[in-house]
Amino acid sequence: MAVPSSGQISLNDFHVEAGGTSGSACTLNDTDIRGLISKGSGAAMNFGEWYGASGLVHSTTMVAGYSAGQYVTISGYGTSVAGDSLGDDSIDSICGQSGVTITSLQNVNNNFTFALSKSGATFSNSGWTTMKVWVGQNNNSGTPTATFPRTGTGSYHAGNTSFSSSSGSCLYLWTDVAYASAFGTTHQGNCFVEIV
Amino acid sequence: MTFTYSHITRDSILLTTLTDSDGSLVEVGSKLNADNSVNETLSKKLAEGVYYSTRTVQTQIERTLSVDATQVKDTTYLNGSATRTDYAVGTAPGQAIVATLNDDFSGEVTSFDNNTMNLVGEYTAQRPPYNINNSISFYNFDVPTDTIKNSFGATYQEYKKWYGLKFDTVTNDVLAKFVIPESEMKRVDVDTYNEINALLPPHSYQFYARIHDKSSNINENVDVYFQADPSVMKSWCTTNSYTFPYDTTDNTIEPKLFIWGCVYNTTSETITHVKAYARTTV
Repeated sequence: MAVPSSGQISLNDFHVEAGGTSGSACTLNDTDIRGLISKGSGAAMNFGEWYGASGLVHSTTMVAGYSAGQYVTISGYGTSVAGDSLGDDSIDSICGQSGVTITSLQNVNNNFTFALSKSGATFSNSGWTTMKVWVGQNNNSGTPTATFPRTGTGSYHAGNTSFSSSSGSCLYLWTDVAYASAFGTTHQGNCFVEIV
Repeated sequence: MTFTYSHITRDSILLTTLTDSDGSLVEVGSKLNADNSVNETLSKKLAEGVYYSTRTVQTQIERTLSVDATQVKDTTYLNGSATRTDYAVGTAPGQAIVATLNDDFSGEVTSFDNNTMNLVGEYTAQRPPYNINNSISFYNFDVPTDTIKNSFGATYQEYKKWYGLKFDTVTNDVLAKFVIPESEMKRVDVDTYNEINALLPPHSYQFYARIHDKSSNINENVDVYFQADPSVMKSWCTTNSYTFPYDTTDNTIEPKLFIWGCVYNTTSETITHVKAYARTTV
């Protein structure tokens, strides 16, 4: 949901739009916040520039596959579980590239991977801040079931955050993620994903 | 393949980067020492684990998923040779073992073969704590029931969706192997968790198993399972003088590998055995 396009707006609106928690500490010069209106560090800005600002990079529905096999449990969207699907697997711009395809959004043995591909592209670890996941619904109403940061620690993964890339693909990995957070234990259950 | 490492700070976060000679890149949050300096060894190991997770490890995962779970034949390698074969319960060899279990251990679970993914295997004494008599292993690919948990004094908050029972064919004693995710191992015994992780090679997808007897005693030997690159495992075993689990001249094994295991002894604080598991069908 973008910053209101008119009327009263606040720094907290910008922070929430950038993926922050409402009411938590932030400044206008935080990378994720000024990134909403493409400002560099310390750059001049005015309130008019913030009306309608949106941090949304991509959103999609997901029908999550779930398979609990011998030693390997998979939940989400990828190549290994029949019956999974994404409503929109094409991202306009992310990680320094345009026209990118999502190849997986899946939790394998409590390791959540978000993989992207574009033939011959060199991806950078940039262009988004937070992934929001809703499990058990096909829209973004209410509080997300879980959120995952592009870098650093978060509340929904007890392990590490990492980024890897090679020619034509990149992958984010969050370790120690519960299936309740991504993407449930119901085969073909509804989920919604928003990247800001 | 030549790795170059660096440590950088971006947006106030310490990152360790691995760059391969082919241009591939890995960025991980650096592992820190108590004084907040970068722990070079653990940070590099973490980065390498991520590197392989998209290569040979991914192949191992996909191979495991591609096999018909109801026709599985899993071979365990230990000390340089095959030591055990597990069969899906619906296969002919599996049904023969199920018949033995029904004859001798019928009261332990409601059914040994009501889940077609369940595995059974017979094995000779090889390593602690199964080093006295021949045994039968039974792996049930469901979350353990409260009856099983209570029988063996298991009070974990999280369980993986499988557990094992080990039947001593001479004494009829039964041990239970409770399988828990990484976060649960960290919660119940963070010291052992840290000691194991300091010893392991670069790897992915780790989880643990702890063995309980019917007096609720927890065995001093802890199993850790993980995916890893075979060449990394060979190098690590050589460096640490661990016996490599299989005959490396047999080139039919490596393409079928799907997981590795280590036995960590909490008394000696050492890895005592390295295991490799290969999957085929009957």
